Parts: sequence; structure tokens; C-alpha cells
Amino acid sequence: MTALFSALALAFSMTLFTGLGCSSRQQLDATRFFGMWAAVERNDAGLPTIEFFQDGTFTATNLPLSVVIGPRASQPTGGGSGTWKLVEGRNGPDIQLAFAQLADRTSGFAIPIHISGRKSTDLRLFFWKGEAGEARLEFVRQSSPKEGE
Amino acid sequence: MWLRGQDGIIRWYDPVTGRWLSKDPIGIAGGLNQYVFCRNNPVNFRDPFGLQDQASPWRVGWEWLTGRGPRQHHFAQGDPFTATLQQHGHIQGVRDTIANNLAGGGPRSGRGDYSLSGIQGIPDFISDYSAVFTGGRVGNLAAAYLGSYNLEYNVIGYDDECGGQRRAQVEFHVWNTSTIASGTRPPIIGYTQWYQRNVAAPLNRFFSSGPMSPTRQDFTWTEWITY
Repeated sequence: MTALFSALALAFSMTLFTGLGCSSRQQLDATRFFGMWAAVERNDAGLPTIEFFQDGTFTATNLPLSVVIGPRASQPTGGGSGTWKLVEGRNGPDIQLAFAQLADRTSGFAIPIHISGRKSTDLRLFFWKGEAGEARLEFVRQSSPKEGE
Repeated sequence: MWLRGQDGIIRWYDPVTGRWLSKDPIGIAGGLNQYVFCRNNPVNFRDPFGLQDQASPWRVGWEWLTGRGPRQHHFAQGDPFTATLQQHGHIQGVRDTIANNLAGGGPRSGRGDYSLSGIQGIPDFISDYSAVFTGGRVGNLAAAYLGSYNLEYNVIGYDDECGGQRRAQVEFHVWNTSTIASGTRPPIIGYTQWYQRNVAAPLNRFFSSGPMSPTRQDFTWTEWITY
């Protein structure tokens, strides 16, 4: 009986999980991420943005470094550039950002940005602001790639 | 005489009686008897700055639960909590990632957070928590207390002269905040924005002080990684 209740609780959680639009194991095409993404909240430096290019590079601006690097970041905000690729994360695909330089981290910095949503209209990219489950720093699409990129 | 740390005098010591005249600056986190040094085992333990933190996951959990004791712990290399965390399977995965990055010319620093979110979090949660019921024989007691945690790594040095093998010295920093929300977060749904907004955030506001209010743990250590 206990096992039955556990199974029902798990099924209930999974139903809610799916219904709330969280990322699930799914095949995503990298082309869905080309273009400019902007954070839903500004900081003192401005609006954080990440632009993904078709050649596998990206640029990022105004990122809150306490979120991206951690509490030992030497500056409050910063940007950089590098390469990106879709990788299989723990709960579906993530985008692995490999900064060639991020603020004063000149030897590179690697961090995944997570994906939530399935439809184009609710697709989001996010970093956890603290540990997993806490508030998110979310990015929404601003534009599709320009012609020729 | 006194034992001097980087920031000044840390502890007074009487060489005649061979006893400490002042309490351990980390308080009872190093044990209830604050007048011992390195758990009375200076051969196997060292404490050059007089600040080693001997608190176990059980003790840190009790401090969080009761609201008594330090609200922040800095665990360093050699501390038992750090040593247990270093054995967590996720840390080994981060080491592998770092080695691959180094071999492939990738980034020399980055994040390697541990997350119990999603379906994959369920077996990880069970695996970590098995330590609680087996006294640490299986699972990992450090991870069982911390749950999800944040990790940053940074390559700080190289050694190319080690028997033809390339090695890098890597500094790890793990940090975690224990809150009522993180301590009661259910699998899967507990990691959604709906839960964060409607359950976790109000819970944390209610328990903003006293028992089950936020406590913080930081861990730093360095390792040599061969690649």
C-alpha cells in the first residue's frame, strides 16, 4: 500500500512538473536559440543579454557575476564571449557556455545555462540565482538571427 | 605565548602548563571542549591559522534546526566535512570535466553545481540520504546535509614535471545556504518557479530568524588533477 501511495505521489508530481512547463527530456534544435536573448530584469549595469550566433559563438553583456561566477566574483557585472553548444544536462538539454573571457577571468569560464519550456512562446533560458530550486535569472528571446549570420 | 594567524593573535597558549588559555576561535563548532587543539591529534591533523572547523554535518544540521550556534561555517582543507564532501560522486564528475577541459584547451575555471532537480534528482537524493540511515557507510553524509549545492572551480597552477604527466592545481569552492525551503523541498515540483514563488519564498520569509532560519556553509580546498 505504501508503495502504491508513493507511486501515486510520484505520478502526481510528474504531472504537475510537466504541466508547469519545466524542461523535460526532449530533442531541441540549436537553431531555436539563434539570436538575441535578454534577461527579464535589469541590474545597475543595464539589461543582461546573450546573443547566440550560428557559427557556434556567443556574446554576453551585463551579466550579474555573483550569479554566473559566484560569491567570489571580483566585479558586480560583466560580459564576455566564447563558444556555445547544446549538451545533455541532468534534466534535458542545457546550453554549455564556454567563455573565452568573462570579466577578469581571462583563462575562460564554463557554465551551463538551463532551458525551460517547450513551445517557442514559452521557451526560456535561465541560471539559478542560488542553489537549484531557488529563484531564477531568466532570459527571453528578443530577436531571431539576422540574415547572413 | 600566543599562536598568531594572518590577521593577528588567534589563541593564547601557556608553554609551562601546555594548555590553551583562550577558547578555540571557531567556538563549539570544533567540539564541545574548546581548549583542545586538532582534536588532541596534532600528528594527523593541523590547524596553522587556529581556525579549523571540525563541525560534522550532524552538528551543522542541529545548529540550523535549533537556531543555536554559528550561522556560517567556513570549512577548509582537512576539515572532516570537507573531506566527506570531496568523496561525493558529483565532485569526481567535476574533476573529470576539468581534466577534459584541460586536455582539450577548454576553460580553466567554471561552475559545477550539484542539483537534485528533476527526475534525475530522485535517485541522487535516495543515494545521498542512504548515508543518514547507514551511518555514512553508503551514500555521502555531506551531500545528504547539503542537498543541492553550488560549486566553482579555478585552475591556479600547473606542474608539467611530474613523471611526464601534466598536472594542474585546482581550487574548489562549494557554497550552500540551508533554509526551511531547501530542507523541505519535495522532488520535481519543488524545483519549479510556481513552488519557489508560492511556497518556498513565503516559507523562508516566515523562518527568517531563529530555528530553521538560513545558515551558510562555504568549503574551499585545492587538489592536483592529472590530465
